[in-house]
Order: sequence, then structure tokens, then C-alpha cells
Amino acid sequence: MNTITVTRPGLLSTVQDSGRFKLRHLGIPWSGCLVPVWQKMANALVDNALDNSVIESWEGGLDIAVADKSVRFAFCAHEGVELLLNDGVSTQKLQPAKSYLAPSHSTILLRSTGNYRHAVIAFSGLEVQKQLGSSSTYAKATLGGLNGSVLKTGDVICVNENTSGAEYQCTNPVLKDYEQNEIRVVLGPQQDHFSDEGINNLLNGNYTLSTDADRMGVRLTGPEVQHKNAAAKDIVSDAIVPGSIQVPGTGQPIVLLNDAHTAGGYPKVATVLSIDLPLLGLRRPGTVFSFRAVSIDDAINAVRVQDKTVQKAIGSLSCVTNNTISNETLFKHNLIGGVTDGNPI
Amino acid sequence: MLLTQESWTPHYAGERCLILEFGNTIERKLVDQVVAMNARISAASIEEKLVGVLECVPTFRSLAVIFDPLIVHPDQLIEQLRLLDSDTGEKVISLGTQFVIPVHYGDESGPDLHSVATLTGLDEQRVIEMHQATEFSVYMLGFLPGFAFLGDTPKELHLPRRSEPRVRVPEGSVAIAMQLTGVYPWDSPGGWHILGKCPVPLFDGTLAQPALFKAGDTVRFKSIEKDEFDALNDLKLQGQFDRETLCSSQALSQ
Repeated sequence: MNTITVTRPGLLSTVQDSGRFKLRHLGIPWSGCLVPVWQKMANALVDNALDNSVIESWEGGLDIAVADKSVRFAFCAHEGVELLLNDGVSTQKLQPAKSYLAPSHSTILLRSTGNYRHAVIAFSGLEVQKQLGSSSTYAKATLGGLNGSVLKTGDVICVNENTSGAEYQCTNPVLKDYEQNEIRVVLGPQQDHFSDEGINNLLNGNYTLSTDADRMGVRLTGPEVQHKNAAAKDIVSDAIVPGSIQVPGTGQPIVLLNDAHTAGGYPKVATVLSIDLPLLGLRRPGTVFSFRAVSIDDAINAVRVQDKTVQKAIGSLSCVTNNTISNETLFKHNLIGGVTDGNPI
Repeated sequence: MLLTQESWTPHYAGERCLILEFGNTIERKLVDQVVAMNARISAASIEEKLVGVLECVPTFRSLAVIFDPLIVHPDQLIEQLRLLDSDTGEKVISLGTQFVIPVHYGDESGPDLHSVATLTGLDEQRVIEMHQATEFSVYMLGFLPGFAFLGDTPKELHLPRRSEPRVRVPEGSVAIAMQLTGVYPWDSPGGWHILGKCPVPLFDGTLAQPALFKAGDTVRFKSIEKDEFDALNDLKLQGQFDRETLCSSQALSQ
């Protein structure tokens, strides 16, 4: 057995997998990694199942010590990230979306997450006991993670021992899809609680990400999304999903993220597409966003296209040996087949 | 209970959730419709008559149907759900579990019992009697994991929320506001009037069924003295509490 140890937990670093499903009717949020594409890619790079648990850093400041056996790992983050590997002799700055072998007794140091908040780190064979079907940490109900908590100094996590083997990288631009400032939404379910002017403001105004943000949701400030009248400011509690844009009496939108509670009494003007939702968790306070309404058909099409793109990116990882790509690996990983399957997307 | 034709309006909640809206009030009749539809979708999914549905979330007046947009388009799903709707069939909805929940009313367990009596013009004993004479339905869970909204509290006890919400309502508290009674599985801020406290494991994340209640269950409260509360609470703290003892057939024979 091999382990890694958290030597500095940083701010709100958690273990997350794809989420805890089928329990929303009991008031239990989905949780799960805020950037699913990064979770899948980081896992693919170390040959884990795509839905395997990863370590998600909310805002950097995370140090992880490797025990007396080496382990393979990869991380996904924005380009400005500063993740270092210290092998006791020298310190090397690592690139995102590429796998590395961390030698025994080395330390992985997440010094900065760059212009974005998160980094997602996958370790080969990382294993955390599941609770209610998931390892995802939901600290409010002490579910998942290690003893239901965010990572703490001294936490020890089981991983695989890796000694040799090829390293992989992903150069597909799908990983850089989080640079736009436009967020696609489907109007509803309670858009009829808002005045025409309120909805116009939402779709034409600029909204600034406030400092009020966590895994449950983010508050934005911008032109008031007016309710139709005073009575329209409340609803009898109705279901909430990650992506719901609820608007309390202030007219300032709150977008709910993965740890969103399951029901609430504020009307929801629109819902952010699941594939655009990571933007709101990733970007830093002060980022200015606009919202664009799309039809349900366009929304469905967009998520289907992205799913294929991600599958292709994962199917066509490049093998890197001394920064060159070997022909052997190209054949082995069916690079051509991964790039085009002959189907229009 | 035979299924009857129900009317709901679908609303998109993004590309992976449909809200089937049955109404916009808190009424047992609506909750019954929501719970029935939930059971029907669950049965149809098991029988594979319905594909792509991942989970459903019942609320007071709506059912959220969460689906996989890679498998099914919501408009197709709406058509399939309408077919289920008209298929009144012979199916019988299984009744929820019937619970009897022990509550220590008043004292430090129910710090608002006195003010509730004053505000409603009833005496404390009468408030307790009315509350425990009611058969409540679990309308929905939400707000916190395992938090149950029960209705209806007797009309005489309807009060708006407290003007000053508490920073901490202790776990196990049984509290009222308007026509609802809430049972708190966690310490939490809250503005409801606390009548008492139940020494019952309402949420246990180590169990396959972590929440005690689910929408559609029925609940009666049974007043207990402090010594019984303490004994049950000890069982709870030791992880020895048997939830089966709360099911009405057992609880009433005790």
C-alpha cells in the first residue's frame, strides 16, 4: 500500500468524485467536483476510472507529501497555475494536463492557482471510502471525504505505487473552455415571476462575481432583476438544482453550484447550462459575466457536443517520453480513431 | 389509493431537470399528487418504460425530474410522462411509513412553548395536546439533509415566524411556523417556534437510508417526560437506537 499525506491543507481543499446522486429527495446535495471535465481528464492521465475521486483545491495553498514509494499524478488548472514538485534536491514547476511520477519522499506544492480559483489533482489509484455512494465531501452533513471533513493537516490517503510507465498529456483545447465571459442559460422555471425589464436586465447587463462564493453558490452584482411585484418575490418552496439562478428580493442573482441545497423559496429566473457552470466557481471575484438565453434544443445539443469532445480528448491522449511522442504509443492509443469517429457532432 | 388523472405543467430547469408543477400552495392534496407521480415515475423507471430519468425530488407543490440529457430530450420525456399520467391502470401506491415520534415538550427542550401558548391564547397543556393529536404528513425534505416539513399544524397554532430568528436551533427540535411543523436533524439557524425536542436519530449518514423520513410518510408526536427523553437520548448517542421502534405498529403497543 502506498499513501500521500496532506502537510498543508490550504483553503477548502476537498476530496470529490462525480457526486452523490439519487438522494436529493432527502435534502442531500450532489456535491462532486466543480469542474467535471478536469476531474475526468486528470483521472484519464493517470489511468484511473474517469469518475475516480480527486483532490479539489478551492483556492490553492495545498502541500502533499509522498511516502516512501513513488506515485503518478496529474493536475488540471488554468495556465497560470504554479504547482511544484520538490524531490528533496530541486524544485520543478509542472504543467497542467500532463502526468508525472512523484518520487518517494517528494512534496507536491500548490503555490498559486493563477487567475482562477481551482486546481484538480488526480493520483493514480487514489481511494477514499465512499459514503452513500460517493466520496464527495459535504462537510455540512459530515458526509464523504475523510471523516466528512475538508482536508486537514496530517490526513493520509491511499494511492497506488507506480514506478515506471509512460507519461501522458492532453493538448486538446477542451481544457481551455473556461475563458469565455458569457454564460448560457435556459430561462425558467419561474421566469413568470419577473418583469420584462428584469429579464432584459439579466440578459443584457453585466454581472460581477462578488467575494461571496463557496461550493454552494456565488452571488453576482449588476442591474436589478426585478420581480413582477412584491408577491412574486417568494414562492412556495420548489426544487433547486446546481445552475439555478435564484433571485431574492434585492434583485441580485445567486447562482447555485454543486453543494446547492435541494429546495428553496426564492423564484428562479433561469438555469445555467451544466457545462458553463464551472466558470462561476472557477473565476475570481470581480470577473464580469453576461448571460445569454438559449433554447432547450441548443442547450441539449451543446452538452451532447461537449460530451463527445471530451470523450475524444480522453481517447487521444499523447504519450510523452522525454517530451517526444512515440509511434508505438500513437498506435496503442488509437490516436486517429480518437480524433474522428466519422460522425458529425 | 387508485391513481387519478392529475394536472401538471412542465417547466425547464436547465438542460437536465424538468419541474412538474402541480400548484403553488401548500396543501395535502397537492403533496399527495406529487408523491403519487413520484411513485409512478419510479415504478416506470424500474420497469424500463421510462429511460433517462436519474432521480426525482418532491416538494410541496412540484416534482423535479432529473434526467440525463445525453439519453433523453426533455420534450420527449414530457410526452412519456403524459402517457404515464393517462395510464391510470390498477397500480396501487404503497403507503408511506407511519411513525410515532417521542417528543419532550416545553422546558429547555421547547423554549417557545410558553410564548406559543401566550400568542395563541391557549394554555401550554392544550398546545401540546393539539400538536400530538394531529396526524401529520411529511410534505417534503429539504433545507438541510433530512429536514422534514410536516403538515398541517392545527389552525389554532398557526403563527408567523419569530421576529428574531435564533442563531442556533438545536438538533432534534420540533418547531412550528404557519401551517408547518419542522423537525431539525442538525443544529441550524432558524426562525420557527420550538415546542419540544425529539431524542431520535433523524439523519445518520452511515446508514443506507440516512434520513428517517421521506415525503409521503405520516407522523404523530407522543409527549414524553424528561427521564424517558434522557434514556432514549442515551441510546441515540450510543448508536443503539432502533428506528423500527418508531414505526406506529410497534410504537403504539409500547
